[in-house]
Amino acid sequence: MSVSINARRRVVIAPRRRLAARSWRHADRRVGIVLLAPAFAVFAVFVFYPLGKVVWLSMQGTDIFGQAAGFVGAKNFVTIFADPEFGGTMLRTGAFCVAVVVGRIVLGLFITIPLTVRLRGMPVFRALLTSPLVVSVSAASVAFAAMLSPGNGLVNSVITRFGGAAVPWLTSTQWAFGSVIVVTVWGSLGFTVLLLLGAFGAIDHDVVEAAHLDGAGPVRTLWSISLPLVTPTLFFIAVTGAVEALTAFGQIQILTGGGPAGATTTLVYTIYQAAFGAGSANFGIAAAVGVVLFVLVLALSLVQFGVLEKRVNY
Amino acid sequence: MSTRTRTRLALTAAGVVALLATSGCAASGSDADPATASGPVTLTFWHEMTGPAATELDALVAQFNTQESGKITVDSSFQGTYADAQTKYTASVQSGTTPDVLMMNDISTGFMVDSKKTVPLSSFTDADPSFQDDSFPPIVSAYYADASGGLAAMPFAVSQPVLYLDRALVARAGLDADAPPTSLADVASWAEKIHAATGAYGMTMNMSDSWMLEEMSASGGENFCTPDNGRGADRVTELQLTSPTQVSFMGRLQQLFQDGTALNPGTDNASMVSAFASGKVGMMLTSTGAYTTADPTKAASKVAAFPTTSDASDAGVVIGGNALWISGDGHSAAQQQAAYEFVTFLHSAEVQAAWASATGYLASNTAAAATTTGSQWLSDPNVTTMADQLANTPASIASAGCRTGAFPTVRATVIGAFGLVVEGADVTATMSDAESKAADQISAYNTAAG
Repeated sequence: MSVSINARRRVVIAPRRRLAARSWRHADRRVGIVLLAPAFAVFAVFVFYPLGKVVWLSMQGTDIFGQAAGFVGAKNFVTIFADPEFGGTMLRTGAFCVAVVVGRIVLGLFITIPLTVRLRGMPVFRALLTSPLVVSVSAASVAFAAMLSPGNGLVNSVITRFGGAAVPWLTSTQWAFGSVIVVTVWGSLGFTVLLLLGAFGAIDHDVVEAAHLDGAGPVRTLWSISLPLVTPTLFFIAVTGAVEALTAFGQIQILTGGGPAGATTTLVYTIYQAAFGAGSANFGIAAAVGVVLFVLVLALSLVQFGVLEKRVNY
Repeated sequence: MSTRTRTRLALTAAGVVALLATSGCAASGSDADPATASGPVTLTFWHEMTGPAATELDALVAQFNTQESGKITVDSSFQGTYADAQTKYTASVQSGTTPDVLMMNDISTGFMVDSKKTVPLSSFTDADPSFQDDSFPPIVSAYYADASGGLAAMPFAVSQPVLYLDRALVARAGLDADAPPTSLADVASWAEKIHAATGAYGMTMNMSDSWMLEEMSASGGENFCTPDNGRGADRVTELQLTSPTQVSFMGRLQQLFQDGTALNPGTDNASMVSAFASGKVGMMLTSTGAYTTADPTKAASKVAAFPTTSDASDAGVVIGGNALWISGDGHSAAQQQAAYEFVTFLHSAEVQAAWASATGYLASNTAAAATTTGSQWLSDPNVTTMADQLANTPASIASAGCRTGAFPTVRATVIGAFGLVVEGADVTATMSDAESKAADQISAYNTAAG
């Protein structure tokens, strides 16, 4: 270890050089601290301070302008947990997260695996299927809102043209949640396909060849060789997808505004409604929901790294 | 590189990053201390108009600036939706940089009064003998009246809900658009006939918030909030959603939505208007402000008065739109006086006539009809219907509408409950739950307002 080397050196070096060495070590430490300072300053301003402010606000009452109006302890947390709808919102947020992550992975694999076959013109298909990557969530949501519009949207026009009944995609509590999930999965599909194409492309062909020589068919090779080898990418998609789903906002705001009857309201949307959407700027309640969301995301990440990562082959 | 040089470089880098990081946090603030302002006055004006209304408003501001050249300059800026503007306004109160004149929508009137950051319009008009206090339609004065009976703000853009009928679809159903239905019961019956005869939706209405339910309550002479719609000495503490009149009209609407006669447009009001404009809906209950987009030809539709939901004598419809608020705290007397001159300019008969004919809003100055532009505007019978409805609405407590700062919050609660009703939930039980939740929300707001 460097400490023992230094300790040994200290015995043999001359007093003058020892002083110089110590001064160098101090100087190195100073330089290290100074070099870290910019990063720390940025983190302090943009991460630590807002986080601390949110925790502080979560224990404050607020006036109608959103200004802190006195310490209320855990009252804001009691208020949100006493709200009978909050439990439903948490469950809905969890269901949304699971549906988006599973949908993203399953659909991503379903689309990507055929794309790994070497065929003429495949790059064109790859480009088309990864194109959702470049479409922003808001733009996609506006387009889907127009297509799923109950009055004269494209989807219902086609359905009714063929004699079917118009479906209330965004205006019924039975359909709206699923519609938002579909739009969210669609929006993240391009990035998922891109990641999986890279992962499948990086698989050593010799391993696959050896499996074939051992008599493994395409399904067996996929299940026992290819999929295990892309688990690091699947894990990455699961972790980032979960965080993206938990913090989803734009599509909910544009497609349904959290409705109908709260059917698409998630935790993040609750924060928005409390702080900005309802006129009264209730930042205390919004911050308290923010703290709950932070704890949930942290817990989920720990679970994912503690449980899921054990099944990943690096 | 020496240690000292490296340290200096690192310190410099840290300083630059810290400067960059914090520079974005500095408040832009106002250009000068308004209290010491002298000479020409520059006013900041926040508005939320888009499309043709924004174009017309910009033209009016330019006209005022030319007229007041060397004395007053209005610097207007678009602030997004009304909700966005209210959020920015609360931030500006915190930073002490409120605009001199703020446009704010109808339902935020309670919040603006509670904010105590504005000067009532009546404190200016009382000292201005040239101002005509009776220049507003009675329902408009009633809506923006403050506790002392004067006006809290200058009404600017005024709208009301009306009934639009698609002439072609109505005719195909064997009905006469020129003898339109006058009650909600008749509207429902017409909607069923249109749907049965044409296959198109019989009717639609705004469903993104509870506005239509508020209007149907008022058109049945029912208060939406208690006590007294917040128009008396006491603050609003509860909503009223389960009166026999309300349960009756919600039950009728439930039938229409359940059997597919009515189109539920969800949060997308624009798509609702577009569906009507493209001939997919027979009747539409929405704002006068939608006229130019609902019927660009001004001939394909018939505009009729908003239907009544009971024959109560104080029944009427509540106005929508916005008003102009003059800031007090942190704004000099010269700025406040200049702001008053600006809002009275926007209220003048000529300006209101031009504004109404360009935008679909209704004139908030009764003298606008007598101007040349106003008479041209009123030559359209549909516009006459709208103007007559505004002029004839009685200034009752029911038609003055609910005033509470919690209104934007409770609207989401009410429409959420009604969303369940249209899917078949029991009307009384569901709306009773909404009453309880809204009471909690109003209580929380009242506590915050102090």
